[in-house]
Amino acid sequence: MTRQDLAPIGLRRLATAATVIATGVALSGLPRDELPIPWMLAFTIPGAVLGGWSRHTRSPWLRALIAVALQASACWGALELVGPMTRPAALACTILPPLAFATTRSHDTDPSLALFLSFCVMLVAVMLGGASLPLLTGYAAAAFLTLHVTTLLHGFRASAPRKVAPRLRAADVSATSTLTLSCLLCIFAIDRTLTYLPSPTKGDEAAARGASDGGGAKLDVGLDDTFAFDGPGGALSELRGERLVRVESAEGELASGMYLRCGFFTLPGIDRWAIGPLKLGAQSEEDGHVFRRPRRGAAVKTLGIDRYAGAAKFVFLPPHTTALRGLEELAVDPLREWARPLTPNAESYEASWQRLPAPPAGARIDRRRHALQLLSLPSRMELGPYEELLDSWGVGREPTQAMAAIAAGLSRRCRYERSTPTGPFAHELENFLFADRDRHGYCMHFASAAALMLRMRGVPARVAVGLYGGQADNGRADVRFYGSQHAHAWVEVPFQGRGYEIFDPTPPSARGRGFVSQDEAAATSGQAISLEPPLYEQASRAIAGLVAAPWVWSIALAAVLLLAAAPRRAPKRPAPPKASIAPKARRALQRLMRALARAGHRRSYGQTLELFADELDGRDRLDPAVRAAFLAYQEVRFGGRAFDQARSLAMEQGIRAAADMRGPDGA
Amino acid sequence: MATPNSSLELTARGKVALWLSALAGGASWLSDDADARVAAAMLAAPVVVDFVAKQRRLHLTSIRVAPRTTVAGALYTESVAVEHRGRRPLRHCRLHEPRCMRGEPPTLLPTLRPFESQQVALRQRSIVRSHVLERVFVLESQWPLGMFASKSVVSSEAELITEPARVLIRAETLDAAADADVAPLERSQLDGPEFYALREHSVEEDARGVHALRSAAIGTLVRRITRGRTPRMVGVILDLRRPPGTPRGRGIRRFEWSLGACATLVEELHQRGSQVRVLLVDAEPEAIDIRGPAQKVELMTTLSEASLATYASIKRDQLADLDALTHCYWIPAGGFANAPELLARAEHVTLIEAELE
Repeated sequence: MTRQDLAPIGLRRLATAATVIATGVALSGLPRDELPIPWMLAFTIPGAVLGGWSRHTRSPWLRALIAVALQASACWGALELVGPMTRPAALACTILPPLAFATTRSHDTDPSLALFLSFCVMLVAVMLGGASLPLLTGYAAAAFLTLHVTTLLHGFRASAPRKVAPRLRAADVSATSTLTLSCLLCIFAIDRTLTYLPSPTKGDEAAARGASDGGGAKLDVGLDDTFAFDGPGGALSELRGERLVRVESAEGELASGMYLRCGFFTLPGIDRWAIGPLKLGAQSEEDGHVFRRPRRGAAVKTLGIDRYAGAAKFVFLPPHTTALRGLEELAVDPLREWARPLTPNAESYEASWQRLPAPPAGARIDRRRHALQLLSLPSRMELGPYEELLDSWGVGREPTQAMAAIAAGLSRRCRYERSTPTGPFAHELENFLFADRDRHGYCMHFASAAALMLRMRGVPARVAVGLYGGQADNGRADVRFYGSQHAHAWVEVPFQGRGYEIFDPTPPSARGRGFVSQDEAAATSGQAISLEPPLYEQASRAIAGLVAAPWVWSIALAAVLLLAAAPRRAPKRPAPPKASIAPKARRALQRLMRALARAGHRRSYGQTLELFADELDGRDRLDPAVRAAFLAYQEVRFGGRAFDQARSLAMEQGIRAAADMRGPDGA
Repeated sequence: MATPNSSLELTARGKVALWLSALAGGASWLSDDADARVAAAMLAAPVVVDFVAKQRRLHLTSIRVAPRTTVAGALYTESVAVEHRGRRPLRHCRLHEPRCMRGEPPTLLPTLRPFESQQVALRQRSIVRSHVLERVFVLESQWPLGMFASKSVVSSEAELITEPARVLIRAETLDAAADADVAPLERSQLDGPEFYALREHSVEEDARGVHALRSAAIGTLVRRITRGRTPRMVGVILDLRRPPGTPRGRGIRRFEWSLGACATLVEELHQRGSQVRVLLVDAEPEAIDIRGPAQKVELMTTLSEASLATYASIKRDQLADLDALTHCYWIPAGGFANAPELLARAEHVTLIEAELE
């Protein structure tokens, strides 16, 4: 016999709803392409059925048998319907049956287990890249509501039953809403605070930057690991007119729009980019490395690449490279599709690659590469103006739409010029984008701006550098030469199953042009423009910067915690409200006292009306009308009665009687 | 934390959340990974919010409760006035009195607004015979998210007398005194006590013994005295002394039963119209004449405070008054059934020994 639940039914229903919503949101965060709906249903429905049914049956063996049968048949059905799923999705699926079971079985009694499991599923969704910010916010709100309602339910169940069921009041709803909002704000504050903490990994990155700047003992990866807008630029840009690479296609004609990447930047800055951390591994083969298996439906092509002395420390890779052969002693980062010779050499090598069609609309981002820090933004970046630009260009969160909109927006707003952008701002990139007039820049400005904007819309992106275009060999369509004048920068976005896709925001006519120094540009670009942005814009940028700064949130969090923990004095009991005397009654009494004083009967200081009346009575001077006036006033003053017409009349009669009274001497 | 009589502790849920958030926070710090950071923030946020919003000022609550006399083990409903003197309203708080609510669930208080008194009914049962001058209540709350539990001890100056639990006394034991009294020569054939005489009625006595016709005739209240069953004056000797050489801590159950027997016996005899003279024998013997409710309350208060005493002989003059009575009951609460004073009066005394299972 089950014990009767003493908790209010409304609260139990709310707990059920909140738990189910939290579970549903967590499940909806799992990426559909990795975990198709049939598989998700196959792993949730048996658990849910069993959870709901287990309230009515007691035999554990029977339940286990039914569970196995249900699960096996559901999995068989899903396998027949959509085929096998990926390994990460299979890992995530191990949590789904207990989650479904716990959600349906103990949703209103103790949803702690369901909440914990849904949190695990949410984390998996985040790691697989299916969870967006609204989804996370929705989950957090539902989870906090569940926690709060569970606490209330626990209070009801652990206490004596009440005769009258408690009613839900507006104050309770308000407190619950405030709590949920506080929790969401707290998540943001803690996240910002953790960002602000000095992490050992950040130290490594800083060391890597320092090594690249100062030439430390780190592995020399060839291309400068940083690109400073106000500095000397990338290594390729310093090579003026040198012939770097000769590329020969084994399959015949070589397209003119060929990209050859030799490096990339992931760590952003307002004025500089850095390569970021690498996870170097050994090459998979003795004389090369296989990056990935070729994608079905696209031919694998081969490029023979000969390097000249200026490019001895680089490895140039075409897009969608599958394998590299002919090079020994390589440092390889397979996930980042990056390779470098450990010691500079000019050996020739072969690169196998595929020409894949452009990603279709709605193509999914490879969220596993979040870990490669492709979404981070510069710490001092003022996001407000960028957001305005993105909004005005109609840039959404769908990757291909965002890429197209950004490219179109940049081409409308900025023009290509091989010179440093000038303007009122301190940073080149801001002058490139926000100067009031003559917004111009070169490929690195286009690529930097596009990469940052994509990241702001949640699309992971990195800036790739290398060569573009090239020059055809005389009489041979299958051979092209690349020199430092073909140095170029573009953006790369990781798509699921495709690797890094090239997204070049630089206008096509200007791609792969040589770099012109700042001095040279200054000679051709004319006077610098010194127009200040409007005040409100400056203020809004300052506020946006303040809100985005992690230290603000850290200080706020610390202050709130200190205030909460600090001892405070108990408040004083509020003074009881004074009995308010009707002003009319008080004025009438004053008139009465003045009339009595004129008649020679003066009330002494501190004398009560009763004593004064006794004194008058003792002298045989107490007129009944005066006595009635005293009584009327006392009823108002001490009896809480209203100073109505009858009492007002009594007071007036008393005043008239007092005016007619004789003095103590009989005058 | 905060004040000596209040504490703030992590609940099991809070401990798990804190551990997980610490692990995730450590991972995010080491790896600088955004996902780990989000996980740590989501786990730590409820702990932080619960800590900040926690009602830590439960000790600013005052509880007023009226003096009460009860019998050990008897269930009653206590009405207490609870008033919170903090700044913020006190929500979802549970009130419990450990002494009197053992085995009973705490009572969930309604939302207590600052300086607004609320009447709360508590289902209580005082198990242990005692006399306390201060009631101690525990206020507990896990609101809002149940990560921390704040607890405060609030005391209230109120007398609680827990009389000994009443016990069953054999009928022949009760009638022993009556049987010793002289029966009238001519008795009716009816069962029950026999009419003997009339005497003046005292206002403290049960009005059911008033002889209505005779009272109306003579113009003052008189009550009937029955004879043959209950004598007018009965003595009860409650011997609280342990036998010499008995270690402390032995015979507690017998002691409690004996106190209950004394209370039951006095009540029963008084109800039958007898006056009872109780002699409590401990280090300093004390005699109480039960003539009405006031003396009864005094006796019950004394019984609620009674404890085992070491052996000391009783002076002869202290038992002189009882020697004049026709019959006495002797209750060896300390287990000293062979007391010389008892043996010397064996023929006039009914011994009531504990009947424990």
